[in-house]
Amino acid sequence: MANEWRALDYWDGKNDLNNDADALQDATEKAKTIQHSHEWIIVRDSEYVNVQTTDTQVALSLQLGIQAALAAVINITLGDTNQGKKVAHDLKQFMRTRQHNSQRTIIENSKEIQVTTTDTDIAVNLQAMIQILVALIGQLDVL
Amino acid sequence: MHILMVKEVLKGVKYVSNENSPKGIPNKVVDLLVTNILRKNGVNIEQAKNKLSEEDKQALKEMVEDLKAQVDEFVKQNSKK
Repeated sequence: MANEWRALDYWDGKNDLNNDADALQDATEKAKTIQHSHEWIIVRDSEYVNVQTTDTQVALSLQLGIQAALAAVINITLGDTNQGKKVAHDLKQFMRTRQHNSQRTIIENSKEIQVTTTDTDIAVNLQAMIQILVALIGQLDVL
Repeated sequence: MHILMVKEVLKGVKYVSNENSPKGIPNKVVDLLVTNILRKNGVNIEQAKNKLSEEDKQALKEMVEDLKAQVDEFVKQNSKK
């Protein structure tokens, strides 16, 4: 163990602005969650790590937009009835089944790392949601 | 029973589409699913259609087309990376 190379033990890189902070740096943990799709990026004992992930904020707002549209269609056509609620519930149920993907990225004991992750699950899920919406209004002869 | 069957179909589809960039589910499968859900809950489609005025239809059409364009753009952006 004593011979294990540790990224934070020593660093003579030109970007190093705060030498003292290096050894004291605690494990950093970052997690982003959107609905049931989890993305964990754990950065531990490392520095100068650049992380680029899927823009979950955009995905989330699109998701809310589609959900609102679905709710509007159901509300107009079926009203605020039990039947309407059940249809909405069943449709949501399906969307939920598409959201159990998770990915984990662990960066440990590293320096100057560039990470890019793509959450294809979010994209697929958004596509599925819009497909449901299109199919629903298609049935109602809107398209 | 119908719903169970559809889920089985989708499992297979997801497995295939997961191998590479997102391709989505075939529209026919989604149509089947939506039809099934409406039927299961005893929705009268003709009656539902009559509740939509022409303005409603136009507004819904524009809203959905706009959302679809945004989703397509998002999917394109994310598969480019």
